Amino acid sequence: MIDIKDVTMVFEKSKDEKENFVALDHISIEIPEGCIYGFLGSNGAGKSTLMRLMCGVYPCSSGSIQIDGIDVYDSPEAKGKIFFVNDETIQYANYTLKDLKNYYASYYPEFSEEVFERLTSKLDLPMNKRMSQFSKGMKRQAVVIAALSCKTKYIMLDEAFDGLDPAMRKIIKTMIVDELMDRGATMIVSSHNVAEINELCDRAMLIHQGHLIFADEIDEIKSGFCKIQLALKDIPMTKEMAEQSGLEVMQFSRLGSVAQMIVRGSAENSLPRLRGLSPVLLEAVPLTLEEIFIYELEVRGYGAEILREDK
Amino acid sequence: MAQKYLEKINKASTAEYRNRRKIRLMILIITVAAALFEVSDFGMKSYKENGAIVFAPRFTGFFGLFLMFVAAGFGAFAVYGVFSDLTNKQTADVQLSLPMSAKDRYYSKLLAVAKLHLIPIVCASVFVTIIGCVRGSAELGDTFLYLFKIHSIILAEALFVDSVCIFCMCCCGAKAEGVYTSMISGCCVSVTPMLLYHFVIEHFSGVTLGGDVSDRIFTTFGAMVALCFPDESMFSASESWIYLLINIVLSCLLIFASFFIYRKRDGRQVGRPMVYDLFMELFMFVGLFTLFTMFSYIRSWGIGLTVALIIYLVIRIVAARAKITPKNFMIWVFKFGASFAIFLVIMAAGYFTGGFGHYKLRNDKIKYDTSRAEISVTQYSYGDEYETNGRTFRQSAHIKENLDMDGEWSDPYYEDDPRNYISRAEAEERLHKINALVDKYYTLENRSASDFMDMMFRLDRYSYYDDPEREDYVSVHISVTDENELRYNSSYNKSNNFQVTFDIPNEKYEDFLKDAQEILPEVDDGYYRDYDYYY
Repeated sequence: MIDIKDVTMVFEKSKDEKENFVALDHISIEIPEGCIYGFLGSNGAGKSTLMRLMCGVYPCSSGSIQIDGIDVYDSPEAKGKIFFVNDETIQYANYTLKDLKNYYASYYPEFSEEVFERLTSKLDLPMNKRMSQFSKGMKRQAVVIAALSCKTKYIMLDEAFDGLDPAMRKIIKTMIVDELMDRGATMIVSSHNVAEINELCDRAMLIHQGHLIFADEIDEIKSGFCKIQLALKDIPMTKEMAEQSGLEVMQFSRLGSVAQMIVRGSAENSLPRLRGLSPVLLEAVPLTLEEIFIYELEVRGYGAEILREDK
Repeated sequence: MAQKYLEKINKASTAEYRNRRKIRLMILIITVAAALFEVSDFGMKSYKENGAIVFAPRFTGFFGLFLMFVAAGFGAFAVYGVFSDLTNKQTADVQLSLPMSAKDRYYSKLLAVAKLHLIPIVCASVFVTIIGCVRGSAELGDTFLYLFKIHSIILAEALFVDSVCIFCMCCCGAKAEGVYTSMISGCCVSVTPMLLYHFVIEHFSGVTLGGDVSDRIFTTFGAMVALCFPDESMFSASESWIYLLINIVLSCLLIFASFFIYRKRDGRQVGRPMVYDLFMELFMFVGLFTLFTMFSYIRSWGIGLTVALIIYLVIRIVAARAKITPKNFMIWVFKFGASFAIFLVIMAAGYFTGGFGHYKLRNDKIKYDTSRAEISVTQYSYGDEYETNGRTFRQSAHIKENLDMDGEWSDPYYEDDPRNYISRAEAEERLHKINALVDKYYTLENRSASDFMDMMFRLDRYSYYDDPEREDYVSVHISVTDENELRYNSSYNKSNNFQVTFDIPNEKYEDFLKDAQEILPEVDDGYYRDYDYYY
């Protein structure tokens, strides 16, 4: 298990900045073994910073990150259990696949040449060609193959699928899932593509401007929100009326006499509270993770200015 | 356990080594070419001269050796590549997340640099030494020692390059900064101590010791180790080993110090041009100090200060990266001014303390078989017109007890003249009297701020003491040496020269002449001084 406890990360100000930058503010998450965990967040929310903290690239300003009970920073033992694939592949430009294999085999004692060769031949990647001559998708495949071959208990992929075409995304995802499921490893993946996280992960967390908004199983997250459509007989429905009924309304809109609102809480809990208003129409519509992402960030003012201008 | 640990370090270093293909190839090509040129270029011979075996290395060309020094310099590229985790975010992400502690990573990187750079040089050196020993028609021990020393010097150069580059890379978060700071620091470390000694100590004390160890000591600083190159005129055979060893130890200490800086680094500092402000300020100060000292030599302060300011500002602007505000700019100019002020304070301290006490240094022994002593006094006065009045006292002689007539008389005319012989006791007594004369008349009381400014900005040491623009004064130059016109000692390390130049007040002129006459006979060769006569 990866235990992230009350982690704060502060980047000291540079000479042209007035204040220190708080990238993460008191974040606490537990990532259990054997799951696929999605990191969601706006640009600059702190996802990559958190991943770098989790693999020991940065030390925490405060709090702690432990992998199976061992503090990860500067610990070979803890870092030996995790593999970090960052969002760039430029550092491998001069490597051939053979170099890549030798490189990681030198560091990870569990490195499996069998896995490496099986996956490279499966994806038909050339062993002796420089990676600078590879396409973006091939580079990603190569690094993911290296990551899987290291046979670490945890693999972190930072925006690893971004910029790939849908077919390539599917190939890489299938390859990862197949390989990881076989040995019960844990994958942590960050992406802007919420639909992808929804489809791939069983758990997720949302982070915004360094603050954790939620972290839970995806089904639980989804059940924590619902979209309700409602119409009253004589008077138009207002946001205040819904709030007076004890609902936490995240978004409210009205088209004619039909009001639509996103509320925090499950449909089972929310609908009975509105029945007191004797609506002529009352129904709950399931919410996608993407909608939750957008509404949560909207509530916090993310992109509000731009959206207002568009309206 | 230890074996497993070493195996881990070795594996990691091999991974680094393998992935530096280009630099590995470059260094290998240069070292192989250097070794081949070296073995084809020179030969060793022993021959008998006056009954003694003389060892004579013969270099018909220095190209091989030059290439070896180039290979030593190429260590910079090896270090920049291997330590790229300190300057490249992507590499840092990969390397810092690998299952290694900072300590292990540093060791593995050192080993990778050794494999890329030092081991090829060592292998080439061993090859050249073996071939040299086989081919050279000289005593085996002589040949071996000679070649071993040359290649130890090259190794020391390589180690120095590596250590400075590692240190600077550890203090910088951007590659450009790592490159230019290491190049400038390498030059400063090598040159500044020598410049400082000659300017602040020798220049301001007026005392020069020809046969002392000062120049040799500077071989311990960085690239100056090249001066240890087998040269009998500067070092005795065993002496240069000590300096060479100190140089190597200093480079190792720098690598050791870099370890603590490396260990403190993490991913946050990657990309920040200068990680430590203290390093930046020290680097800029040392760089400026070296430039100022150089301009002190060449006396072109107008151009010098402008060039220094431009270089300083360019580095500041490059290193700042961020927006440059008028406030920043003013702070930089202020720091430049402060550096110059500190430089002047150190120089003034050197001037008013007679080169930090160096003016008290005397030669108290006649070491060899000749002795020459000279006192020359020049009075400069302004009457109706500018006037100089020079008097010289001199004696050259052989030390009777040590006389060795191996046919080295430079002029047989002197050979039979009894005036050219002096006993050791007489020579030493004369030397002590000269020392007492210097002690009596050389004081720092009459040093003034205006004279300091003259010495700093207008004149060099020699022209200062012969400066027609100064008001009435008397300039004294005294030299004692064991080389003279009767016979030359060609070896630098066998000379025992002492020279001192200072001023005395006009009112002491007559007293001084009286004292000088009691020590040496006056000669009538007009105004003549033997500055640097022997160099």
